[in-house]
Parts: sequence; structure tokens; C-alpha cells
Amino acid sequence: MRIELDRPRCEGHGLCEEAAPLLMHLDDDGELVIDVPKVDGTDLDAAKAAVRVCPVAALRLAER
Amino acid sequence: MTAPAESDIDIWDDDVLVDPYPTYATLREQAGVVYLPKNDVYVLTRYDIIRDVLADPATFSSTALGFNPMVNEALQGTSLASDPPLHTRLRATLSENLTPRALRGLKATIDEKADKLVAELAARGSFEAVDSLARAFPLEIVADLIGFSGPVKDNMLRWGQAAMQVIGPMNHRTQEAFPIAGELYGWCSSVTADDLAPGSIGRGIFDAETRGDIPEGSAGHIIHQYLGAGVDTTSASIGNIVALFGATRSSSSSSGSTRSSSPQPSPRCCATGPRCTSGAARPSGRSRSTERRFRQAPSWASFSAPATATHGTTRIPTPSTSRATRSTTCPSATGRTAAPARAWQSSRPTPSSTPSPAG
Repeated sequence: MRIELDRPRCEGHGLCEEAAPLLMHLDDDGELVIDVPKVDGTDLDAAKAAVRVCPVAALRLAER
Repeated sequence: MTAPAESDIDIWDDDVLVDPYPTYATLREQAGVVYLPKNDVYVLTRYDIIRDVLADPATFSSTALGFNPMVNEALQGTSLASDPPLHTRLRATLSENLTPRALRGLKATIDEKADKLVAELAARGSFEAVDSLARAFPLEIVADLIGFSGPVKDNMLRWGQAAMQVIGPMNHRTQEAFPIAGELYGWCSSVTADDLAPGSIGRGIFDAETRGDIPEGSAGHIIHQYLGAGVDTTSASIGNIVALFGATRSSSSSSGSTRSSSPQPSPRCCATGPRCTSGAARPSGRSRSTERRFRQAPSWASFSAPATATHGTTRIPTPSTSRATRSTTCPSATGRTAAPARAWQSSRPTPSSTPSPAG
């Protein structure tokens, strides 16, 4: 699965980073950086948690 | 189609409002969607269902999110009562200064003020948490951000509370709040750049209007939305946090009290402390037991309700004339809007049929 970001939606809440700190982070300007876009296994669980927690639904998981 | 779960709970009863959480838990345990005949609303009780509905504005429109026709009329065209793509544009303007990203630059200042206030309060040994902390802190921050002071600041708490209250069903609380909310509206309609402190965000909004970045005459409107949405919700959030700390009294009871809370009307607030809204629309001309296809979009504190049939071919308009009947459906409700569970009206209250935002 691949983590996709709808950048215009992202407001920099940072909850996704709390849910999946190994997969993504906010940079110094508060912009989200997806460090590990392709995920599986335990990473997938963390990615799903990040998608779920985003308050503005800016993240989604795509098949590939 | 299976009839949804029902409950005889009156979500706006005084006893529920005073301590809503046990009632919310009861509804949540009962079902993800519960119909309340006394209020004629559907309540969404669970996270995933709420998320799905929020992500589906085509089915669940926000264009009439209040519980009385007067407020729906007043909110027409605002970011609160609109769907994409209009909503997207309005929200972008409104949130430009208030997203977590935008507020990063203010974090140090806000943290400093929070630490100072907490130190003062802690030094007293005991203090009234709602008045001295939950209300005082966001008022201080918002006043500085928008750049107002004096009599406006003195009135802002009651104005902000009234601005939320008028969204409720037309009971005595809502009726009493309308004139007070009108005072806020009146001030925002007449405020000028010179009334606001240089360098403040409020002043910046007027500058944006002067530059032509936002439509002429919209600055006061945006300020109204900051104030209407930012103060009361943040006070409620901080107050609830303190109450929870007090109730649990665990080792964590003192941690977090120095964290700052920024006055941002973000959906995150709604996701963690959902407000109950809901249009009390009646299914016009159709038997409720056979097909729940409402003409009225229901409501969310900040988002949606069904304006269309779930199957995309039949878009149902939302005639404003039908709204007038809504407030009469719950004459005894005592409603405040700060309720918990989500409520809405659905053409098809079958949550499993809605797509997940995660795709």
C-alpha cells in the first residue's frame, strides 16, 4: 500500500506524525513529509492509524 | 431496509446537558446510528461512522446545519454552512491564520502566556478552573490575535457563548441568545481596521481586504467567524480537560496543565469532542417507516448532512421553505448545542453504505 497526501488539505496538525513517527514527520515549516510512502506489515498498521487520525482527511492509502 | 435503532432520550434535556457523557455512552453502546423521536434527529455515535459522514458532503450536506430556521438563514454562505467547493474556498480564507501550521510562529508567545497564567493560578493554591483558566486564557489569546480590547473584550465571552447557543433548537435558551449574538454580529459589522491593534491578525484581515485578496466587506464577516467559533469551543475544551484531570486524579493529573491551547476552530475539536447538531427536518411526504429520504440537510457543528439521495442519480434540493417546520418538532427540548454525539438526518441511515475517507 502507498500513503498518499492531499497536500492542499493538510493543515499541519501533526497527529499523523504522532501515530506513525517512523513513516512521516512535519518539517520546520509545518509541512508534512512522507518518509516511507510504501508500507506493509506493521508499518501498514501505523499508516492506517495515521490516515484515521488526520482531522482534515488529508491522507489516504492507495493500493500501489 | 432495517429500521434504525431508536431511543426515547431527549438529547436537549437539562439533565442530559449537565452531564451528557453517560447518555452519550448509552447511545454509543446501543448503535452507531440512533434515531431520537423526541428531537426528530439521528445521532451518530461512533468514530468511524462520523468520519465517513464528514468525508461525504455530497450525501450529507452542511448547508442547513442549525436546529432552527433563523440561524440557518443567518449562516447562509458562511464557511460553517456550506459544502465543497464553496466551503473549501471559504475555509481556506478563514483558516489561513489559524491552522496549526500558521500558529507555529505564535507558539512561543502562547506558551509563554500559558505558563505565566498557570504559575499565577498555582500560586493561589486554589482557583475556579472554568472562569480563571478555561475562559480567561482563550479570551486573552483571541483578544490579542484579533486585536480588540476594552468593552469588546468584556463582552466577548457572553457573545461567543450566544453565537454557539443560537444554533440550537428554538427553545428558551436559543431565544434568549439571539439578541446577544446580535450584539456580536453588530460589532463585527461596524468594526474598522482602526479599531484593531496594529500588527494583529484582525488588522491583517482588513489589510487583505484593502489589497483585494478577499472580497470587499468580508473582513468583518471573517472576524465574526473567528470570534463565534474560537472562544466558546476552546473554553469548553480546556474546561473539560481540567474536569477530566480532576475526575481521574491519577499521576497524570498535573501534567498537561501548562500546555497551551490555541484558538482554532478545527475539525479536530469536533472529532474529539463532537458537538451535536442536527437538522430536525421531517421527511416530507414520505412515511418514515418506508423510506427516509429527507429534503432537509441535517447538521453538524461544522460539517454535513444529507442533501442528496445516497444513490447519486437523484439529487434532492433543500428548499428553505420546508425548514420552518423544524423547530416545532421539539418544542420541549431545552437544547444547548454543546452536545456530544453527532446527529443528522439521512436519506439512508445505513452507515455501512458510505465510503470510507481512507478509500
